[in-house]
Amino acid sequence: MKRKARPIRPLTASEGEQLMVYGALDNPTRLLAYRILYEEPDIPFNALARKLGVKTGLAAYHLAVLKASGLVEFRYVRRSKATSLYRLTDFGLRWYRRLFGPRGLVARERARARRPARSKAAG
Amino acid sequence: MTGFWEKPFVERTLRRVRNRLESRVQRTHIVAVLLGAGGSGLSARRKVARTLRRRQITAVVPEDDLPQDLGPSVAEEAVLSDADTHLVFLHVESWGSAAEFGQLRALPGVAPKLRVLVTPAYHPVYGKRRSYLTDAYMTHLALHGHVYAVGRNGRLRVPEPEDLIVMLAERYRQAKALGIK
Repeated sequence: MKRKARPIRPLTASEGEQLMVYGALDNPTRLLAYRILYEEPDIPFNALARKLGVKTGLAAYHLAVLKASGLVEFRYVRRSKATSLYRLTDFGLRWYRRLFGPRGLVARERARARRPARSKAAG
Repeated sequence: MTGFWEKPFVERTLRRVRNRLESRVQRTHIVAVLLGAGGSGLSARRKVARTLRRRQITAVVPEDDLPQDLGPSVAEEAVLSDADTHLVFLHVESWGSAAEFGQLRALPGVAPKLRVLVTPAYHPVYGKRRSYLTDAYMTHLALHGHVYAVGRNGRLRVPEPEDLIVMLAERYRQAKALGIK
């Protein structure tokens, strides 16, 4: 007799949020944009694209993914022509601290990666 | 720059955490782009995008998410052909979106991702209308599949565009997480 496939359980809110954030940041260009926006909020689109070192079309795409994931927002400022100024949202800032803060994911993972080396050295 | 940021380590860490999470929840992160008409069509796409985002699917509506600093054609081509874009839903409900279909179906990097939503009357299999457009839908259907009848129809039971988009996007990311796609 064929076994019935188990239905996939619904995502919890936390899992869903993580899925979206890790998916959005698992790309070198988007990760770099995320970091630049943390360090230089309200940066114009063209300056950001230059810093990313990619064509403007591609930069627009990666920023659109970050925006659609809720990490980034932009507002228009009319100078000689419409200019978009990008910054992290509150949600984006919260995740930045969660990932890269002093007790964030990366710091914890780094400490974990160093631990065996230290114990070896001690032994 | 801050000292903790060692690029390869950070990238590897995020990738590892993501992979662990995806295999646990049996879903993956996907990016869906929603194209279609302006006006009420744009409002409908915004509504679908909100529904997809609530389900943690990244939904890009070009009119809202792309900067106005560059031409829509430059931005859209980059958006649609990038390998990170998994699904492109195009609801053909105006002459503008019909022209967009004509353009996108010819792009080899975009055509396989294209999910075309048409009113039942213009569907090449279920509809009665015969025109250049239905012929183009038929070609796309034969080559790539993915031409769907949506909206109200008397006898034929077809889904509303929003329901269809959410259903397909959800199943796509499950299948991708399970390695089927």
